[in-house]
Amino acid sequence: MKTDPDRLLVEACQSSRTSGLEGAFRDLYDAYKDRVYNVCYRITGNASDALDASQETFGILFRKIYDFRFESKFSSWVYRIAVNASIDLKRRSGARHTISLEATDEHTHESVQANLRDERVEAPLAAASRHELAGEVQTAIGRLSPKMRAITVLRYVENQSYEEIAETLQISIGTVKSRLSRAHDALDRELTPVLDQYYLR
Amino acid sequence: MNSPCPSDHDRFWQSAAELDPLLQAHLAECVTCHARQQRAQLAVRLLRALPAQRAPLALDGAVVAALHAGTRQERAIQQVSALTRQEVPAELNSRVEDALVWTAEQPAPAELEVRLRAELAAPSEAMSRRFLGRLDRLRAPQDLDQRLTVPARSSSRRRAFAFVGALLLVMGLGSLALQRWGAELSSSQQQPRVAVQWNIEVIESAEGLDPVSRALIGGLSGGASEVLGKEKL
Ligand SMILES: [Zn+2]
Repeated sequence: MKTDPDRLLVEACQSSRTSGLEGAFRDLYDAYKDRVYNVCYRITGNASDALDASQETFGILFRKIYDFRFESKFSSWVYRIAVNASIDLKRRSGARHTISLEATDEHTHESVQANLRDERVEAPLAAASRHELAGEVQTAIGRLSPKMRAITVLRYVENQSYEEIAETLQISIGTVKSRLSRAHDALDRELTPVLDQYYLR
Repeated sequence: MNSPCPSDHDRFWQSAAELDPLLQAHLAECVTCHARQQRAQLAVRLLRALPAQRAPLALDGAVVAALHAGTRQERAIQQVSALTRQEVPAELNSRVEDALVWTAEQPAPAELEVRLRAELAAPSEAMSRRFLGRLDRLRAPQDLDQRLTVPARSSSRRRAFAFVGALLLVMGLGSLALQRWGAELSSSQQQPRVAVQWNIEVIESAEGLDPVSRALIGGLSGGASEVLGKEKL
């Protein structure tokens, strides 16, 4: 097995046993905080939940890092904790954010429509429109089931390979493929009207 | 067209380099599949282009707080688990045994079997008996006591005399009427009819009655008039 790129850092954390965000654990936190927050944000769909899920992720990491034995890649383990924390948080917070996302949905449709009516297919979008479009894509992700949302984020946002996804989610490659295929179908349904609106007359 | 449209649309999500030559040839000819593949590729590009979110500064504070809370909790758990285990005093055993005597399983009383038999033999009867036993016994109101105790003996005695007096009066009137009616009947056969005259006599004792009426009342009252008649009504 290849040496884990985080091995030294993790071992430093395990040997130091700090009582807070300092020393080796501070280094680990700095190395992962943006990746963890990004995954949490894309799965939960909002900054507030992403912050809560990230906090929970590092709390779990801090408590369990002493028991980590490099049976999987450390980064996969971190992603797994972040994905589970995000899905759990999303389940707890329920429909609250679905409503708020759908509310912004209408607004973006209306404001961007006028600018993009006569854009040609794949024409470069203005910065403001790209920002709006990113919101639409995030909304589409948010409409997927938690499992499909997680696999979509790992595949396209974190650019993980099938093997890495399998290790992170602790599922087989076959399950990765079939779950991703269902996610594609769902995304196709969710994104087609958006793409038609932005890129076609 | 070289080949039919692929049923597996998931292949459109693969990068152009990953597509097999057959599918590439089909896409070059089929407008529908080409549009689908273009849309999937656009979606992939949009997903990959989602701006990376940087952790906000607030996360540092949140994590520091979470770690301190976790450390405090861990320390508390360590301290609790480090507490020395106390030996159980011998007295506890006997106390527990005493306490258990009360909670020991109680055998069903023999009467239960008897009742059950009765119940099964005549269910409706048993049910009535059960419910009757449960009916509340009502207490007489105090008012009733007062009403009953005040007149007591004297009034009951007076009422008995008044009853017998009234009876004697009725009987006397009845016998007088019969006597007169008999006399009128015998005389009316020879003489012209005359108007009947009623004489009402109020008597105070049985002795005031004529012998016929006295004998009649005596027979009807079973001799009571003879006894009571000696007293002044
Ligand atoms: Zn086709």
